[in-house]
Amino acid sequence: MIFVTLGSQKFQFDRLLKELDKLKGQQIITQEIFAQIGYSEYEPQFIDSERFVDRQTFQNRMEKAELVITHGGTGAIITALKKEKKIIAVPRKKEFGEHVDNHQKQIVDSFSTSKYIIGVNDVRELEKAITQSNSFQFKKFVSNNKKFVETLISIINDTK
Amino acid sequence: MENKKKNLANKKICLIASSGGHFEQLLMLKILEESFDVYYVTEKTDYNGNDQNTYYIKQINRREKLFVINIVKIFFQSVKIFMKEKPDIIISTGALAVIPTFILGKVFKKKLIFIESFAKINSQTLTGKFIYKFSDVFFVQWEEMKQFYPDAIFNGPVY
Repeated sequence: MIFVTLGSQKFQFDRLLKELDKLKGQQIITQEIFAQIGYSEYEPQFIDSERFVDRQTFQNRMEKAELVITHGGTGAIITALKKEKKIIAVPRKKEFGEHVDNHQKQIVDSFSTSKYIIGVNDVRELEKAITQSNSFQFKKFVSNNKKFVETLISIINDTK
Repeated sequence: MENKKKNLANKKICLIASSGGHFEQLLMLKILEESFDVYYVTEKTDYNGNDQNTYYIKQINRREKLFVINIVKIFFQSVKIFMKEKPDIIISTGALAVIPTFILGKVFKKKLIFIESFAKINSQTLTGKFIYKFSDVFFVQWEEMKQFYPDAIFNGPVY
């Protein structure tokens, strides 16, 4: 299964959704797809989708997926990285009315340069990226949370 | 164990962030609950989770029409929560909705810890830019961000 999440921002991300629907409709993608489409306006014809699923369902569905295709939100990317999923991320762009600015491009570029994910800026390259994901050597994400919290605790304990 | 109890008795921590990605990052600090007396403040949304020891304030973004009215509302909500809880330390991952609480914290000489968003690599958030001037401890999650915040601590991401 391919799990798709387009985030919870109050903006559409029809550009990615339409491309996925097209690839599925043409049977270029043969796997089953589930998409959480959030505030997108386009209604997919060939893809199983819901606006939002609860946190647990979200986790479960992502767990089952072989491939995660996501917008460039840090929450979604990190969640998928922790589950050691193959990830393709497409940044939302300001010029298409998909976000307030282009910070998602920074995120996607940074993670893809480090080989944690495959980044796709132009949705026309999505098909190629899906093929590439089969053989791509994804880098494993190592959590820094423990180190971060330890530093924070020592700062808290130094207070007063 | 004795140490834990000592901490619990001594320090109250306010963990505050806007909804969405900022709050996701804040939840990475949930483990602080094991050692300290912690409460959360975040924006009210349709998809809220974390309900225990959490206060909700009005959701805001800087592009909305009622921005001025809403920031005043948030300010009063923040005062109420702040006076009730009297935190010793305020920790935030941004954004806009946390500014009133940080100003209150500054006025009452509380320790202010700000963590700039993981989502920014090559530019500052407006909130980070403002709070950098008066926070006590400022973290950046990407080394590149030290160019904007030279006095910040880089200790890797919260994730």
